[in-house]
Amino acid sequence: MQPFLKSVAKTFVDNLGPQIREYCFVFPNKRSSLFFKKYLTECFDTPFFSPGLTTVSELFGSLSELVTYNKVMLLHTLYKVYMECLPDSTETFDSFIYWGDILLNDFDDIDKYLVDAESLYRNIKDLKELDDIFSLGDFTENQKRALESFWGVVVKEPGKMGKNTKSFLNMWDSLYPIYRKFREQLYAQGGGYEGMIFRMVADSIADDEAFEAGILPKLNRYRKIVFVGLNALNECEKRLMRKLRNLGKGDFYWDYQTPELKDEDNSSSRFMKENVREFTSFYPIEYEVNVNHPEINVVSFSSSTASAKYTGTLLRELKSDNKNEDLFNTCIVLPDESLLFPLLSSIPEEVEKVNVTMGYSLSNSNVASLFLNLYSLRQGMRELSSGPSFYYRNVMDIISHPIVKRLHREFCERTIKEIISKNMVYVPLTMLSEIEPLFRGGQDIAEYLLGAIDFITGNEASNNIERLEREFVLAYQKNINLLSTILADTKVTSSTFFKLLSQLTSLTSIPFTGEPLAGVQIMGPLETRALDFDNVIILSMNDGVFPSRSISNSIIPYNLRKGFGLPTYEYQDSIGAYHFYRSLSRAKRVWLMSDTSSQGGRTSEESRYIKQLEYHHRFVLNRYTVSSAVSMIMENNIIFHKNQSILEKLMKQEYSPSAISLYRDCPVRFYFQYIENLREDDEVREEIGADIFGSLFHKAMELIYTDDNSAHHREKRYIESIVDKAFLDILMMKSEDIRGRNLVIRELLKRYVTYTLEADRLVGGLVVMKTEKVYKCRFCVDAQKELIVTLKGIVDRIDSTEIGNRVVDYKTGRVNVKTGIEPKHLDQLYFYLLLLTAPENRILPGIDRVTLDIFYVREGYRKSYREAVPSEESFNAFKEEMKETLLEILNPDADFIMTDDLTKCGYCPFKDICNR
Amino acid sequence: MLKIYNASAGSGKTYTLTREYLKMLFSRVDNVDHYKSVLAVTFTNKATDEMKQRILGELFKLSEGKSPHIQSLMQLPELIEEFPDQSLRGSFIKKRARKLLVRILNDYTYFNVSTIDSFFQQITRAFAREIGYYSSYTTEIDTDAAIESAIGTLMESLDTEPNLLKKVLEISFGRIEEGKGYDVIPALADLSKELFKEEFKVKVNGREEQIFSQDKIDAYINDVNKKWEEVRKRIIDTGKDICRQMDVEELSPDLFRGKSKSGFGLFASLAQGEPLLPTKTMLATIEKDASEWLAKGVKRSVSPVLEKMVREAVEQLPALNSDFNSFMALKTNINTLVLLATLRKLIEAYCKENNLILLSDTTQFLRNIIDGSDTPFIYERVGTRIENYLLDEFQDTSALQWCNFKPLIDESVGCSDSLIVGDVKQSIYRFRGSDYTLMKDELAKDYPGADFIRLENNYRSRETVVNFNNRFFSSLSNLPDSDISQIYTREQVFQKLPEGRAKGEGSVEINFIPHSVQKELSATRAAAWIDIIGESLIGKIKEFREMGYDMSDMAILVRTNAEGGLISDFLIKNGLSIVTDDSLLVGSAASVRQVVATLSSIDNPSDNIVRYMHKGEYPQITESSLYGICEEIIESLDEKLKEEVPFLQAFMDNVNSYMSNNGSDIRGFLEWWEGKASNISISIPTGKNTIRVITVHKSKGLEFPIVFIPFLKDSFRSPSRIRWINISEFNIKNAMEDLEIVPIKMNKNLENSEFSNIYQEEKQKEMLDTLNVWYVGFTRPCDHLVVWAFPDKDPEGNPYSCVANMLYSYCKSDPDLDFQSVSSAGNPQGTETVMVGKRAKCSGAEKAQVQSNTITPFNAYERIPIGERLELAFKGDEFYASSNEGELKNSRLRGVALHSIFESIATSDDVDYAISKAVNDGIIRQQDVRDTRITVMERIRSVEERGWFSDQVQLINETPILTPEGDDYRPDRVMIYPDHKVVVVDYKFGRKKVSEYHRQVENYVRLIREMGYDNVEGYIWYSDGPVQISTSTI
Repeated sequence: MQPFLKSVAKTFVDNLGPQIREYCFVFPNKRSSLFFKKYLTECFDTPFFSPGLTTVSELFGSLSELVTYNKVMLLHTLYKVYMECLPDSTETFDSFIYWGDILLNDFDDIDKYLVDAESLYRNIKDLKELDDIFSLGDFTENQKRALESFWGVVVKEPGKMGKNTKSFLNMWDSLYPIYRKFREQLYAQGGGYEGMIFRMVADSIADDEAFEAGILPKLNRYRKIVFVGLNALNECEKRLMRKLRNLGKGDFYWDYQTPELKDEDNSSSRFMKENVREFTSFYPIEYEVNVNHPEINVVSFSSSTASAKYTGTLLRELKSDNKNEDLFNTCIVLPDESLLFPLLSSIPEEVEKVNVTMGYSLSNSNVASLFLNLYSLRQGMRELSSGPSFYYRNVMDIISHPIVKRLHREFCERTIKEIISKNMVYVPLTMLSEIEPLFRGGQDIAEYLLGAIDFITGNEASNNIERLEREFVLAYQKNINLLSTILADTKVTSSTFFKLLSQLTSLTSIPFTGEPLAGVQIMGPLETRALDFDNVIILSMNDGVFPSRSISNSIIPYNLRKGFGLPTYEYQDSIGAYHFYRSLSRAKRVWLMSDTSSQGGRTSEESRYIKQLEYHHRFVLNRYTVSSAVSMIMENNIIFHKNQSILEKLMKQEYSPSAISLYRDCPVRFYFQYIENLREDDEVREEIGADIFGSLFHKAMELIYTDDNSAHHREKRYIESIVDKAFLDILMMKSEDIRGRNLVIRELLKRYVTYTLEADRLVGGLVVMKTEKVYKCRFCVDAQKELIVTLKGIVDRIDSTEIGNRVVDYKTGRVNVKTGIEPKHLDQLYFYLLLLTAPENRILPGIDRVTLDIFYVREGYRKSYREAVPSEESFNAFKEEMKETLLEILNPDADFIMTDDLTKCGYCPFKDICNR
Repeated sequence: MLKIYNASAGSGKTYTLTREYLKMLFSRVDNVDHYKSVLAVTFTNKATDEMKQRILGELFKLSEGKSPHIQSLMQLPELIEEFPDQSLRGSFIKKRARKLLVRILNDYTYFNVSTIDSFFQQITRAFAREIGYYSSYTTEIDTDAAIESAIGTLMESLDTEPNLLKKVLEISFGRIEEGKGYDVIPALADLSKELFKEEFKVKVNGREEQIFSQDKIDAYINDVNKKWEEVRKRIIDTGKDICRQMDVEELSPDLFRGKSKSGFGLFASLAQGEPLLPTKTMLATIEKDASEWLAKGVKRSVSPVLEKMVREAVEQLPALNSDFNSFMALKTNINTLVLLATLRKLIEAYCKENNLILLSDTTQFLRNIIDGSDTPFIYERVGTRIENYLLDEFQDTSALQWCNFKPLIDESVGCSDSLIVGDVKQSIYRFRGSDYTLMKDELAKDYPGADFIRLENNYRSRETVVNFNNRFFSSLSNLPDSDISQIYTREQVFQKLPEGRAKGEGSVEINFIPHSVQKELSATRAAAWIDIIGESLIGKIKEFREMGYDMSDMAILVRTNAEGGLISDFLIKNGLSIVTDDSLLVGSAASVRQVVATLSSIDNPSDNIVRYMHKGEYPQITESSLYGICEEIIESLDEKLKEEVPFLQAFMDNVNSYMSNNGSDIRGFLEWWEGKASNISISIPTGKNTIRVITVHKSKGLEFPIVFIPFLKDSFRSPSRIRWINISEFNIKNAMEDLEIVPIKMNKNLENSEFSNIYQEEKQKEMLDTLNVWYVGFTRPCDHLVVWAFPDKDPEGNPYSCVANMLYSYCKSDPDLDFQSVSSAGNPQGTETVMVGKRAKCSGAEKAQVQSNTITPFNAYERIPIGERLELAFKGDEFYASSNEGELKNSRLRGVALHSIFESIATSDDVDYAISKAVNDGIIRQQDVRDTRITVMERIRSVEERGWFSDQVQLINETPILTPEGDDYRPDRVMIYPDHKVVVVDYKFGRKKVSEYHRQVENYVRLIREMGYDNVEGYIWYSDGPVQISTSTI
């Protein structure tokens, strides 16, 4: 079927030939002009100079002397005007942005629809006075409090109004002056917002003299100006078009061909009648259009990723249906732009050419994340005893960032290792000399970020930067330039600067090149304007996405909007409907895909358009549901057999109590840890978890009992110094670096240490003999087979007391039994007993006059040890169990198998391997 | 007129709602737009969708003359008045239906069917707009992130706020003394959650700072501690005194009656400070004369002194115990209160910072704004006036929500029809704040003149199922508890079969698993029940399939997601395909876990666990976006892992939505995922061959031909939530008046305390909640219900300890039910089975709706990189090309900047415009303007004699050269001289000279010659000046 634009192109080439150069064609957007150009070339057989091809807003721009300012620039100017008009306001630029955006939007509408701003704003003010909640004297305390805490507005009695309230009241008064001054200000600077530019042009048109002098010469560059495929027109556009029509210089072509678009009950037809009546076409064109309904497939998914992946499958089918085509006849519409990424990784290889009109959003790039990291780094800088230092997490984020890493790989890897091995919570600048510009920077945040860019791009190694990344860096640099220009005379904090920068970044996208006029076309609903495709695939057919939920961003009440002829939500709805129905006009096959999963408050409602097709227009819909078989990998059944080298390793292994208990918990875990040497990676510990807490406590106790100054043990200050020393030894943390939550940990440690010392004081004749010493001994597992292994353990403490010796262990974990010692812990103490009584060590001559003691730190407030007296019988039983376990470990036929007890898997670092 | 429908399960509630909605629309003969003034409120988004679909569907059918509702509409008095003639009326309805349908479809925004939350949202937002404030805010349902951030900020501020540190330490030490962990964060997080609960909101109402001021709490803590210590001391003293006396008399506890179980060990415990109560044995002993206290054969006696002491102690103990428990309860959570106001403020700050508003705050806000006024002016701001209201699932409304809604209903009651529908028996969302007493009691009180209607029929279930449920659930009215017995009365429960329904169809089967089997297995694994009933369940599924039912006709109802997970795993292992709404957690899939693990080691690829999982390799990462990186990792997974398609897809959905809101910050994503992973589950659409696994909560409102309940036990738990009490309402000795409101965490000890009433009340409500859940569960089946119940050891002796026991006791008591001890296939030995009805496919059983075709196109997660098919438009190369050859003073003003400035210069008049445009585009900074201008002017001057920027030449920059091949050439500058000489120039500022550029310009020259211009010159303009391209060779 001949596309709409082709019909128009053909008509003009047939009638004008190369003289078409003297015409200018105006389209709703760039994309449609591109397609039109393609159709033109198809009608020629020699090179030719193109006619003028432009869009409506470009046309207006070219008729005006003003530069269209970008939004941040506009907001900043508006802010300055706002503050001038409301000098009492305490609003910061940062918080003004939301509010300013609404004002700007309204100004734009007011101008485009040629509304008398003064009378409109007077009306708003009157309306406010009638029912302004702030002027109601009978505001109750509750209501006031609610307003205050909810919106952060201070509400006071009239007459005693706070600053904010007053400025709220003044604001309605000031809206018009703000509007006026803002435009004056912009005009003086030589720029404006789109609506303002439109209106200036429209004003010049109304004024004959201005028109002759300013506008007409520019229009006279062309013989005729032809408007193609427009739909909703604002008043400025209409004025220009009428003028051109009256001068005989205008020509107009509309795409309202199918019955649905002509159906007056269908909101898509809203603008048709007026447009067609007022602006008629010079050449009568017979457009081709669907006689029958296209084939419509409604496909529902329970995942948006799935819908993107399925689109790939469809493309594969379409491609194999028409082998020679490059699928230029196929269009994928993405009402939800975030589906671009999933879609781009789903297009089958055989589809060789792809074109995307949407860009790659800068904020999704790793460059944006690098700059975010740089910003956090700066915020987290501290002057420490060792000079300017940075929070390690921020430093790690930067030196592990792909871009930085590629530039200075060796340095980065070395530094990561160093930070981890030294457990540096704060990293001094001196350690980062090689990439200093990323860390040092000037006072000014913009200079700092630009300096970082210079470093990244200007560096000799910068050839290592991917082209893609360089592109992002460029876009980022532009934003910084822009912002520092705008804010040149305004003082803002770094955080405001960065917030604004992030806003700019989120608005920035990098265009794709691709094949604009070949291959599958991927676009948003707005870009489908005036284009026709055989196959149309629309994703996210959910109400609220397509059509999008129209949240009015305006302070002009609905009724006034309507009264003054400003667009309302119905207007938005009509435009959306027009895009939808028009894109179906010449399609042969259509797929409408909706996401039925409702997560995170998103609605899963099918788009109203589907319901309209079904009930209003009575299309036949083929409905499909796409699902996937739920195959789920159950836990891996992991078994390791013991080969010779494993057995050798096992013989050489020094067995500690934790190794034994680990094996008893789960042989596979034992295998990973001791045979494969897999370990959770080291990381810097700054927040103290249970394990570090234990180490700190052990360390503190060791320090105390290896210190000869036992006289000081009761002193608070002494304990304090010991705890600080433990922090330094274990965490490399100086006392001034202990902050936040760790302060709580420090206090707790002090208290626990004090409890322990108090408990010790109750033990008669206590002499601490050894602390935290490593002992080893040989242990015969099986005399016949000559199986002898080495046992090893660190004994927390060995004491001598009035009644003999005791083996002491501290436990910082949870206590699970109410009385006595937990069996597992008792085993551990027996293990130590075994080591200490072994002939190699002979620390204890035997088990007589020995007690086994555990200090459960969690119940430290009881200030007492739990104690067990070892018996020969249980000691032997313990040894037998040890032998049994070791025998199994060393048994070549006993495989390493997974434990049955799933509770053991909770905190196992290998559970992802087993999938438990 | 207000109509209040009491709609038991299956009574055609949706049908009624739709009918009433249609009647409201059609009764306005003269106003086709009346739909704008009707608001229907449903409980969930899903229900909203279905309601809309239903109304549209019926309108469509009406327009075709096919809807069953036509009868009710024909009888509308308004229509009869307007069209006395029946056939005219009929055709009006048809035409009007069509008109309404089309109108609504094209004005969908005003089709007011919404959830109560989104309705309130709409109003709050309108209100925000009125005061012109931050109307772009987002609404956040999840409070965890806010809480976490607030606590984080609190912790960070400890080094500068010694006062806070002191408080935190006090809490921490307090916890240690109570034998809890030292970490205060969980306690703070728990308490913070209370901030969002209704009871707290209602009672405290934003007055945290006043109520929980430091001074008040300090005084209060002192007071409570003192009192608690006093009681404790009295208990210890009592114990010690008696122990001493027993020692004196050489009596040990095992010498008393009952020996080791005599209960006289009590006093030793008391002496330790453990506040126990006398055991039954001991009480029985004391009943007797002191001479009989000792065990038989013990040749000693109890002295009168000891007797007196014991008797006194036993008399006093209940009171002491009660005081002990009361004060303990009062002191337990009090420490954290001090920080509550601080946390509240931090949470508010977090919300402001992120421009979001917590959903739970909205309701409260509206309530405060309405503040009891009759005419809630805020509702007028929404725009349209609502005249008719339809509220569905009213039993799930919360008190605050109702507070906000009631004024609206009140206003409409006088003039228009409104409608409330609900069923107290199906109130199962109390944990989310819903308040069933609104439906049960309040409505009747508030609207005595309303029309109360009970829907009597059950259109859903077969006779056997209806009868069984009628009898079982009405037996609950015998319960001692008042609320339950009031709710499950015979007249509330009994449902009738609609006329014309076949008799005797359907079946109910209940298998009671003997307690002995349960015990044996449950000792080793929590999941043991699947081992017990799994085989039998599979057998039943097969049996029903053989009767002609599809898999999709069956649903398995579970109580929790965890149970659902177990059942799902089991079924999948047995080769059945399943559908589940929430049992399959995305985060628990092996593939997803591996992706997350890999992602989290990305800044340290030396992580050897991840390397091991990837078979010794660490995946190569080349992508730049978070989404791309995740897909690359997925690609590197084992083929088998990639088959977990729905999990990976759902995971990527989350990755993508995170990225579009927050960018590609990997660490940020991991933190977010850690918090979310346990909540996100996959949803899979139904297919003909899939069986559905669903929690009872989610099954509300649904129906299935066959329902299996594989695990029914549900012991009634003792309540454990926190209640906020007004302390002055309690008779605590010397009431601590300083604090108005105190948190009391429910626990069993409160049974004997000042707070026993609230404890009992909570306990009963918990019981009602549980029973309601099973009322919902048992009423889901249309045809057949199969239950596996797990009663306790002596179910009849203790009927009220769990639902399974209640069911068992009922079955035993109903003379019509037979117990068969034949254990049907797969059930363990000793299973007792009750079976009623006919096990056959029911006569009228048909599919509820036509299923759409299901396709399953994915076998594995596939990533197809777009690669070189799509590239970004690169400009950076030119921009960052080393600029040694550029003589520019400012190193940042590079070639591309000049290029783009020159692009907008036609004549030298345009220089300033071009430069300000460059500033506006961020290409240069304002401070660079001067230098730039000098450079640009120098350049222009350097070609002055060539006349390039004079008015002499006609510039045709904007018109590219097109060729029939479809190519499009766009030289930087094309000038036509008055003598028809054409000059074409390409700018290559800041570039090295490359012959490729020459060919480009040669081509331009050739094309222009082809267009009929004879004299054409081509130039390349490098930074050191233009170079003419020799074109003689062409």
